This record gives sequence, structure tokens and C-alpha cells, in this order.
Amino acid sequence: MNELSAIWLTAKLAGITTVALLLFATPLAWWLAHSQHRLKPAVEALTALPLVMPPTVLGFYLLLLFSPDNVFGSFWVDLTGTALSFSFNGLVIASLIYSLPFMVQPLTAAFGQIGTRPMEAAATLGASPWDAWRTTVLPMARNGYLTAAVLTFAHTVGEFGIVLMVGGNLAGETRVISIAIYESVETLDYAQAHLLSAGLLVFSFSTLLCVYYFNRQFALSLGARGSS
Amino acid sequence: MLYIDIHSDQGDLSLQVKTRIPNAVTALFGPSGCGKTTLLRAIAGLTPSRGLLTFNDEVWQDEGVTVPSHRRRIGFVFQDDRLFPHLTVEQNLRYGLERAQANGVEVKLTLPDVAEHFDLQTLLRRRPTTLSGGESRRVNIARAVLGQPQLLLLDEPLTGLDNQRKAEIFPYLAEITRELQIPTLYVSHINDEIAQFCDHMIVMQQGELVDQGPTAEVLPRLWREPLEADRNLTEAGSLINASVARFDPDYSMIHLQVGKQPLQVIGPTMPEASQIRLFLAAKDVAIALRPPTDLSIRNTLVATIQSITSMQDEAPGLVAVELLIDEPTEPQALSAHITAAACDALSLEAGAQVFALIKSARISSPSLFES
Repeated sequence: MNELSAIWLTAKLAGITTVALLLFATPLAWWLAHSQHRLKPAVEALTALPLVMPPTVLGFYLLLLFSPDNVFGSFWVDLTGTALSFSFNGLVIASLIYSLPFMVQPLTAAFGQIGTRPMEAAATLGASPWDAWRTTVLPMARNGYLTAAVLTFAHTVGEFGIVLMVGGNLAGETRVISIAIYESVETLDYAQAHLLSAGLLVFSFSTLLCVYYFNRQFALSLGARGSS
Repeated sequence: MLYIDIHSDQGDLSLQVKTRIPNAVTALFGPSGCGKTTLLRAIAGLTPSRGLLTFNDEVWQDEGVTVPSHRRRIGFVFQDDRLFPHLTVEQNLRYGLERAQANGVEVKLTLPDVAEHFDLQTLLRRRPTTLSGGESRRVNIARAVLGQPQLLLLDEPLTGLDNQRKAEIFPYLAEITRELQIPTLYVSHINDEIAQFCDHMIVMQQGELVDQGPTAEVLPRLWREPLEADRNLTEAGSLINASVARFDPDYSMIHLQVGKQPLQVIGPTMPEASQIRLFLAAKDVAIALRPPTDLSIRNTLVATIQSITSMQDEAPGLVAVELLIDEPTEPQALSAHITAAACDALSLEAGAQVFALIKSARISSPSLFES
């Protein structure tokens, strides 16, 4: 039962993180792909920061931020009645930050490749900006969205350091698969560690396989010449 | 009527245009990089500009006012292919049409009608990436037209189409812009296209407007004084008004009347008595002192020499002979470029009556214009 709860918790965390980031990262990636703003390099660097920082550094600062002694932490306690540190909500916020580049970067690349030309053509055909975006950029960026969503989900499933720092190891609350594996090894329960590790390995490989397969299909469907 | 008084700085180019464009088909002419595309984009609201821009009663741009592109009801055919790759040809064609319908615009051009005129019926289910260059140009134009535009902006729309296709698309474009009175701005370098398709003409150079007026006036002016930026751009020639006497399907020949004189040209079928405007390149006109016999050139027009000028600067060894076709009611000007040696050998001089030989004349499209 312990493993099942860890798997469910992991899926829930990764799912919420992916959906929230899809919504939040889309406008950010669009802005990064098309803006000429002088602050753009700073925003780009900030977005990519989780890629190069040790998870422990990020976790450490988040732990400080979540602490009820802090403005944000106490504000959260006032708002919800519970603390963020060592809670599922805290894990979600940490994952949003930690997985942000995995969502933003494929989307930025996809938007950059599509450019503004389809939006221009759509505007001259009477489509409002939102209508034009929804009916041209969104379907054309399908590839980028698939990659971004899968990478974000898989990366959130695989995170360890930051979860340990801000979440600890509370069954049913913050005990995700990677933590459960770590605990199994610590207690020399190798059978359980094997089960979870192998499961994670198979899951990661098959999702990546799916992404690359569908990307190829999509590229073929857009690029094919000759017969229809 | 389109009133333009705008300026826009785009890197090296500073666009500064103030003009009124009538509701007609207007050619936009000038060397590359002179700002033709930028002007079209500014009119469409795709490139930011400052100043005043009004179309009929609508203010599209003024201080503090900018009507977004999608509310201007324009049709824009870009130089590059802008079909949506994730949609079929039919879905592409419906894109503008459906939005026009949703906005309560009266649909005057229906999909089956337009698809037929552009010969797209067999392509409807195809993906844009499977189309040839010419097919995709036609879909681009048809899609813009189906958006029920009140102003058509065409940026070299026929580039990449062969003459046969142009001949098929031209009359239809001319017909819809005429019948539905859709004013059209048409970027083109081709004398032939401008002569046959455009009533009005704007000449631009380095972001500014340098000439404007009816094609029949502006084009000859350009031939006399080519733009400095590109002398090769304008091929000298003449615009000749003619009427169709009959069409000979066996030889694909159109028998024309220039005043009372016959002129035969190759071209597609067109109705009798329709008036056309013909472009004759000056280098394709030769001069004889007697009516020639046993010659492959069939067309001779009796004309009188008005003037002979040396073309020392632009084409050493050539002279420009300005002729007037001998017609009591409607004498028309005709230019011929011949070698100075031939001119001297024939002792040509102003006032002499000669026979102008039209070496090649081909009508790429039946223009439907009343000249």
C-alpha cells in the first residue's frame, strides 16, 4: 500500500505541475520567442536557472521562503491555515519552479520556429489575435506542446533533491516515488527499491519513446510531399 | 478611396507617403527595397506607422486610433506562401470566409465559385505542403478573395506562375475587382501586367512616392525617364488601345483593330468588340519604308515619325523613334528602338510615313478593361 500511495502522489504532483505550467508557461514562452524587450535576457536566464542549480540550493531557499517566519510563508498560513513546508502544496510550488525550463524551452523553440507569419495571415483574414493564435499557432505547435508536457511530467516524476529539502518524507503527503526508493535503500529493502526503480525506468523510457514517435509522425504529416 | 499620410521607420528604410488612391486597380511600382511591401503592410496594419490612414469613411489610423488588422476587412496576398500547413486547402479557403460570415458580412464570393475560377476543385482535400508552387499561389489568392475583402493588397501575387496560369487568373481577378468594385493595390514589376490589369499607377523610390496617375500616362513617363535606382526595371514600350474583331481558334490568334488597321496577336479567346490595352515593347517594333512581303512578321501599322532621339546614354548605338499611328480619329503613340545604323541607312526623319513592323505581340490575358 505504501508503494501505491507513493505512485499516486507522484502522478498527482506531476499532473498538477504539468497542467499548471502549460497555462503559465505558454504566455511566457510566447513572450520569450517574440519580444525584443531589453529585460528578455534576464528573464531567459532566470527561467533556465533551475537547469544548472543544484536542487539543494533551490530547495534551501524555498524552505526559507515557505517558513511561517517569512512574509510569503506567513501569508500562506493566513490564507489557508496550513504551512507550506513539508506539505503537498509546498511540493507543487517547488515543482513549478524546478520544472519551469522543461516546459518553457520546448515551447519557446516551437513558437520561434512558427514565427508571426501565420498570425499575420490570419489577421488579414479577419481573425482576432486570440482566434488567430488558437487556430494557427496552437495546432502548429502541437509538437512542441507534446514534448514540453512529457518532459515536464517525467522530470517532475524524477525529481528528488528538492523534494527531500522542502517536502521531507511524509507518507501520503510528500513521500513520492524517488523518496520511497531512497528510503528502501536506506533500510536495505532492495526488493522494493528494485520494483520502484525498474518501474520508473520503464515508465521514463516508454514516455520518451512515445514523444519521439509522435514527433516523427507529426513532422511527416506536415512535411510530406506528393500524395495526400 | 484610400487616403494615406503616413510615415514609418524600418531600419534602413524610411517610408514617407502622402497620397489619395482611387477605388480602382492601382499598380505599385518601384525598385526592390523602395518600400512597396512596407507600404502595403502599413496599410494592412501589420507594420506600425504613424500618421493618418482612412479608407472610404473609416478611419483606420489616426493619432490615438489604430484599427487592428483583423477589423480592416482586407485581403492580403503575401510574396511568400502563407497557407496554414495544418489545414487542408478547403479549410484554408474557408478560414477568411467563415470569419467574414461570423461578422455578418454579405458573402458575394462563394467557395464553389472561386474554387472553379482558380481551378482548385481537385485540390480541396490536399494539404498545402503537397501543392506545387503555382497551385499554392492560386490558393493564396483565392483565400484572400474569399475573405470578402473591401480592399485587396497583392504583393507580387503572380510570381512563379507561368503565362498560361496568369492568363487564367488575370481575367478573373480583373472581373471581381471590377464587378464587386474591390479597390486593389498591386505590386508588380511587369509592364505587361500593369498595362493590362491596372488603371492607376503609383511609382515609389526610396520610401517616397515619385509619380502617380492613370497607367496610360505614368507608364510612358517612366519609359522616357526611367527610375535612377534601376534603369532596367522599366522596359520601354507603348500602350495601344485596340478592339477585338474576332478570335481564330485554329491559330489561337486574336484579330484586333487598332483604329481601322488590323493587328493579329496570339492570345486566349475573348469576346468580340471588347476593348483591350496592349503593351508593345519598343525593341519589338521595327521600321520599313515599304510594306514588306514574304516576311514572318504579319503585323504592319502605317505610322508617321514624330521624332528620332539618340539613346547614347542608356543604349549606345540605338535610337528611339517615336511614331504616331496614322488614324484620323484616334492617333496613338508608338515607340520603336532601332539601331542608329539602320536609321541612317533608311534615311529616316521626322514627318516621314513608314510601316511599323510589330515583331511579336502576345496577349497574356484578356484584360476586361474599357480603355
